Amino acid sequence: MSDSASGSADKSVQVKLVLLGEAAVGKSSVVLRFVSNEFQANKEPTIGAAFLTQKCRLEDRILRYEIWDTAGQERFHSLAPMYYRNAQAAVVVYDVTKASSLEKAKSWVKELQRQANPNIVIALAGNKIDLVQPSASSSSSTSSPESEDEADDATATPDEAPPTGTEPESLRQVPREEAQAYATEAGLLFFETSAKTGEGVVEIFTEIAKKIPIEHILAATRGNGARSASGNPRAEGSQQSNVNLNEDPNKSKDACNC
Amino acid sequence: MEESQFDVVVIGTGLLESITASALSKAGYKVAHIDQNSYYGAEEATLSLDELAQWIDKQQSSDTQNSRFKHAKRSDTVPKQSRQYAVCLQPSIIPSIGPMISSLVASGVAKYSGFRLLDCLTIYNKTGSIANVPSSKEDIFKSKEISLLDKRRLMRFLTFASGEFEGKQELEGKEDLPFPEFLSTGFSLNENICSVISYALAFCLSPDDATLPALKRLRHYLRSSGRYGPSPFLIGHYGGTGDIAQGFCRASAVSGGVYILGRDITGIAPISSDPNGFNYAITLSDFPDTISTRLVITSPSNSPLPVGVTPRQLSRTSAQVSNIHCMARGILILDRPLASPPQEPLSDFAETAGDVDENQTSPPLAIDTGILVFPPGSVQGGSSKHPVTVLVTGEGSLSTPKGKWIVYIGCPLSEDLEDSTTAEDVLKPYVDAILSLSTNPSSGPIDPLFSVSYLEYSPQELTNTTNESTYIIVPPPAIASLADICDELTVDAEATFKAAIQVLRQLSPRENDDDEYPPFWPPLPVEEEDNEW
Ligand SMILES: Nc1nc2c(ncn2[C@@H]2O[C@H](COP(=O)(O)OP(=O)(O)OP(=O)(O)O)[C@@H](O)[C@H]2O)c(=O)[nH]1
Ligand SMILES: [Mg+2]
Repeated sequence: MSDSASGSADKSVQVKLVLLGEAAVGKSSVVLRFVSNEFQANKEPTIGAAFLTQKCRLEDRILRYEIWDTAGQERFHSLAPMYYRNAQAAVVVYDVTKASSLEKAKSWVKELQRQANPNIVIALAGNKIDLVQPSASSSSSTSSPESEDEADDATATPDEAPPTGTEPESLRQVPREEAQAYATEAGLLFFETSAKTGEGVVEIFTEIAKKIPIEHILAATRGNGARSASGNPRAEGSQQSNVNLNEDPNKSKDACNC
Repeated sequence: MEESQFDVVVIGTGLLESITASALSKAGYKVAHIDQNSYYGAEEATLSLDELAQWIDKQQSSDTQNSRFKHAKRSDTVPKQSRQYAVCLQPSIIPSIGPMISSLVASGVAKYSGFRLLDCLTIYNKTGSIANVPSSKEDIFKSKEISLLDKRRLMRFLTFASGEFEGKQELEGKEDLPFPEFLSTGFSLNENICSVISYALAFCLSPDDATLPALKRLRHYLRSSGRYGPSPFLIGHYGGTGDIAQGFCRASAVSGGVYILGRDITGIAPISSDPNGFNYAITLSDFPDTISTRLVITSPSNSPLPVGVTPRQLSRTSAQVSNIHCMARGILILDRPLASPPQEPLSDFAETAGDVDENQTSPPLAIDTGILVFPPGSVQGGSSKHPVTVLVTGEGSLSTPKGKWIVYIGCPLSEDLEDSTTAEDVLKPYVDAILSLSTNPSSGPIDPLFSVSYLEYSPQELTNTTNESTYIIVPPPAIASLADICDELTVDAEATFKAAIQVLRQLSPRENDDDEYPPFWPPLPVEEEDNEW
């Protein structure tokens, strides 16, 4: 709001994103990690929904994620459709320590594929991976290579850094390869994440950013496709057709009252 | 309060109800918002093409004497990519200043929705071409086709209309005069200019529109121009009105509002003397719990009045025209755009159209998001009394796939139609005129990919009512111009909010209640600066 100067001249692309998933899998925690780089051990259940925004840089582009974090507890299943209907991206979250949450995630994916925008980019995120990892030392959040090696045998005890007290791997109810196979089959991006340590969280959003058809969004909302397509130079004048209502109206108040 | 107990149950998710629900949730009341449809927006909904087809079929099968929508008709086949369309049952453009915009900003809902400026505002003339309507004095100065004398008169009028005209001598005793007459007698404006001002600038629905309200609307629009860009009007992304209604529902949900869609209301029973102050027990199909509430806010089209309840009927705060109770509506899906007129504004203001230069102008541009006004009598076989307003939306407002356009046609009617005349018949001359405005005239008129037509009636207020009731009927929606509808619904929503607060304060006083009404929109929390990864 305060940076009204950039306003509509701002080069950022808005991307509407919705988080879906069973209650308590960590949707709000993943968003909190992404937006504020924080974690709260006892996050309260979301009521209704929450709206957050976060910018994300991708090469020379800035994406502005407009994030709807939905309530897994929503009793009447009436809100979520409103959030995914016009979303360009969805993150469906499950909890790696809870098998039923993957089933719920699958039903969300099905619903998205049936009801949402056909071009929606969907990411599947298995959260709370810290609970099934040997130690809390994994603060390096670049996940991929080594965890993929391990994924071949999810039940194997990692050879170094013995678990503190409990046997974390036994908490895992969703093997990585099972979820990965499902994601591949359903055409989803796939990540294992921990909102607690931050592992994998930013990656979800940067990978989504790479897959979003930015040029298309830009073309549709910024110029007016039809006019510029006609190749008429006069069309240039009407390029800034999109409007940010939150720009300070006082600035232009006296500018031109007819 | 328990999970199924509420301060307020709002029934129907139309724009008025959604704004009201969201304001009540933000004021701290526990709100349940119910709609029997599985989509948001009720009679202002934004629908996919499949949903629109179903909606038409539903109106068809329930077309009785008292239905709000009659003569509903559609083409047989629904085009592909149905979900990529956002078609609104109540198309609107929003003046950049006014109650709707203020509420969007103050409630925070503006952050959830996208808006765009109208590209063009055009008017149809008898010769079958269209011309741009100026939205500023600058446009008029630039015009080469208006005589100097007419320019001066027009300027004098616009200065008058954008200023504080109340109490001015020009207006004295003429407040109720038909507006076009006021323009020609008071400002000596020629017939063409009167017509452009009345129908394309002030959005009058008939030549009988009274002068004072028309002047107020016009001033409102004139002052709106320049706030966000040259056009005074904005249009909402994803189908406008219906998406805005959803935005308010989202805001309500963020403040704890509970949403129940897609379930029929099977009963609303008044409870007498409940110890906890609940006045109604509401049952829904397919739903185990009974919902108790202190207050119900609804309309007869959302839920029939339960036996034994005398409601409180709220009245419209303002109504554009009282003698218009019906609108013939048509919606077309096109795969070729309509052509916008050459950029030179105002050619139509001239008494004799200078068509000579036409051939030299560059090829016509496509209208992506624009308005076309047919003044009364401009189309053969069309209405000689009422203007017809057409809104075109395309990919630029994210309401269609690439290369497709939605054309909304609205024709106000003041007389009852003869029995054999359908909405489709009323609209036919306009549809034909529109279809011949393709960007590529040599290829002949376009065929719509899909079309629907229906009549929309404005419901009556209920008569057997009492001001003491805890069952509030919202003001019935008016037939208003598409430039006015959102502002009107917002103003009526605020009145509904106030009426609800008044009752709720009696029913369940809260500590922080004071003599003042709570603000319609409490201050938004200060937003943190966006940081960036
Ligand atoms: N160990 C661990 N705990 C987590 C992680 N993410 C979330 N939690 C905890 O899990 C609980 C639920 O997290 P939320 O973020 O509220 O879950 P949610 O999916 O938003 O839940 P709803 O809003 O009810 O749908 C909280 O106590 C979090 O602290 C994680 O990655 N690791
Ligand atoms: Mg949550």
